[in-house]
Amino acid sequence: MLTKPNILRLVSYIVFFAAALYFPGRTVYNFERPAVPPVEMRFKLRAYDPYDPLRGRYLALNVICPPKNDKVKSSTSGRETAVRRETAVLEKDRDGFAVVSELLPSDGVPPTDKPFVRNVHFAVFVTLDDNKNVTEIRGAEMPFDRFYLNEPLAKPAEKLLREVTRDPKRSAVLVVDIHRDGNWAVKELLVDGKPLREVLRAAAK
Amino acid sequence: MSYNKDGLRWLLAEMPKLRGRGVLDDAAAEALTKYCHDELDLKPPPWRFIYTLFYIGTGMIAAGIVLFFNYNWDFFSKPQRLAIAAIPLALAFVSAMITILGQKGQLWREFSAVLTSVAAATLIGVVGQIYHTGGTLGQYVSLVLLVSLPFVYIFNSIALTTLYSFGLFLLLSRSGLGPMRNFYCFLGAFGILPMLHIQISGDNPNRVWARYLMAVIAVFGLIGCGFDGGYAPLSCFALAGTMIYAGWRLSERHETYLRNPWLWMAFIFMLTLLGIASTYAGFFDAYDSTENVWNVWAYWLFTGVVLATNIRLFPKSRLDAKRLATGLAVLLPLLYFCHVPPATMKIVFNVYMGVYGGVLMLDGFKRGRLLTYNGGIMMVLLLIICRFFDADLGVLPRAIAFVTIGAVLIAANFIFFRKRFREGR
Repeated sequence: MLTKPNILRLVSYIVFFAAALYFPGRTVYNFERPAVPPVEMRFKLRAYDPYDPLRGRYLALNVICPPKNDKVKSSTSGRETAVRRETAVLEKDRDGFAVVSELLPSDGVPPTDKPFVRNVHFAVFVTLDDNKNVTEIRGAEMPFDRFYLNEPLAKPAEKLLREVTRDPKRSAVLVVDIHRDGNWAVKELLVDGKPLREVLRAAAK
Repeated sequence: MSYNKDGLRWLLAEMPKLRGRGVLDDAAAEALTKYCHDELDLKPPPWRFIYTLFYIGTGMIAAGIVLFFNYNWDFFSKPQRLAIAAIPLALAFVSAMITILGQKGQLWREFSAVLTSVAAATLIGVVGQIYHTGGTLGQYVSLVLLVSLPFVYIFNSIALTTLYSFGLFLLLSRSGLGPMRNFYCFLGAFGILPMLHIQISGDNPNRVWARYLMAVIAVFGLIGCGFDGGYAPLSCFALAGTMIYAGWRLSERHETYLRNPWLWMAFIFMLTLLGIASTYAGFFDAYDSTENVWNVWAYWLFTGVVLATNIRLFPKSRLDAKRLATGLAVLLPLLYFCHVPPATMKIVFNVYMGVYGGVLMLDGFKRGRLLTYNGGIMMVLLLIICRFFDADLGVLPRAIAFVTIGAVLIAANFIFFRKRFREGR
C-alpha cells in the first residue's frame, strides 16, 4: 500500500516526466508533422570543424546569405552592429539559392506568406583566400551554423569542405527546411549535389 | 568517523603522559591502547568495496555502450536515432516506478533522480543534434535545469541538488539567454534554495554537504545576478556578513572547521572585501550597465533573499559586540546612497576595519576563543599591510601614524598586563 507522500511523489513524477518529455517531443513533432509544410532553402557555405562536448563533433558552417539587391538594408542603426540581430525574410534567386529580400527588426512582425529566419546578423564580412586576397561579402549571417557528424567522418569532411569551398567549379550547399513560424532544421549538406556522408563513404571505399 | 579517529590518535599520543602522571594505571593504559588500536585499524566494510566496484563497472559499461552507438551513429535512420536517444529516459521511468511503487530507500531515490535528469538532458541534446538545430550552451543548460528541478524535490535528492548547483555555473556563459539573463540566473538559484534549506535543517545526514552547496549557490548568485547591474558592494557585504553570522551559530554548537564552511569562507571573503574597500575608493561607485530592468530586479531580489534567509538568525543569536560589528559591514555600504564621497567611504572603512578587528580580538580574548581572536589579528594585520603599501598616503604621514599607533598599542598592552597582574589573574 502506497503511503500518502509516495502517492504525491508518483503523481508529481508522472506530471514532470511528461513535461520533460514535452520539450524534445514537441521539437520532433514540429519538425516531423508541421501544420504547413516547410520551405526548402539552399545556402552556399564555407566550413571548419570544432567540437561540442554536449552534442559531439560537428562542422561549423559559415552561411552568409546575400541580399536580393542593393536596396536591402539593415532595419536598425546604431553602434552595436556586432551584436545586432534581425529577422531576414527569404526568397529564392534564379539559381534556386536563398537570398534576403527584406530585413526586419528583431521585434518586427514577420510576413505570414514568406519564409523567414530570426536572429540573423546583417553586415559586411571580410574574408581572406589562400593568397590572402581580401574579399568583402555583404549579407546576413544565418543562425544555422552546425552540421553534426560522426567522429570518424569529421576530419575528412573538414578537409573535403575546405577544398570544395575554395574551388569555384565545385559547390557545397546546405539544405534547410524553413518552417512557417521561423523555426528551421538543417536537412542535408550537399557536396557537388550529393549528400556529404555519401561522398565521404564513397571516398573511403 | 575521521573526527573520532583524530580523537583516538590524540589519546594514543597522550597515553605515556597519562601513565607517567598516574592518571591511568598500567592495566587501564594497556586496555585503552588496545581499544584505540582496534578502532583505528577498522577497515571499511567489504560490501561497500564490492558495491563501489559494481557501480564503477556498470558506469563503464554504460559509457562503452554510448561510445559504441556514437561510432555507428551515422548508420542509424532518424527514427532509430530518436528511439535510441529515448532509451535512457524509458529506463529512468522504470527505475522511478520501482523506487516509488516499491517505496525504496534513499539510494534508489538518488539513482532515479539523477538518471531521469541525465536522460532528459541526453534526449534534448540528441534531438538538437539529429535536426542540427541551433541553440547555445546557455539555452540548453537553462532548459535542462528547468526540467531537472522538479525531480530534485520529488526524490529529495542531494546528488541531483549537487549536480544542479554546479550546473548553474554553466548559465554564466550567458549565451543566448537574452536581455533577462541575470533574472534567469536569479530564478535558477532561487529554485534550489528551499531544497537546500530542507537539507541543512535538523539532523539531516546531508546537512554538512548542503552547507557547502549553499556557499556555492551564494557565489553563483553573486556573479550571475550582479554581473552587469545593481550595486555590488552591498550584496557582497550582505552575503559575507550574514554568512559569518550563520557560521558563528554553527561554531557555538561546536561544529568543526570542515563541517562549518560558512565561517571560514565568509570570513576570507569579508577580509578581501574590507581590504579592497579600505584601499580603493572607486569600489563604492555604482556600476550599472544593464539594459533591462529585470536584471536590476534580479540583483535586488538576490540581495533581499540573502538578507531575508540569513536575517532570521539574528534574533536567535546573542547580540554581542562582534555581531554588531559584523552587522555594520552590511549597513555601511548604504552610506553611498547618502551621497558620501568615495574618499570619505574609504576612510570610514579603514576605521571600521580597525574597530572590527579590535572587537574580534577583544571578544576572542574575553571568551577564550582562539578562532575569533585570530580572526581579529588577521583583520588588523591586513589593515596594517594595506596601509603600509598605500600609495595614496604620503610616506611621512604614514611613518608618523605607524609609530604613533604602534606606541599606543604597546602602552595599552603594558597597562593591560599591569592591571591583570595586580588583579592576580
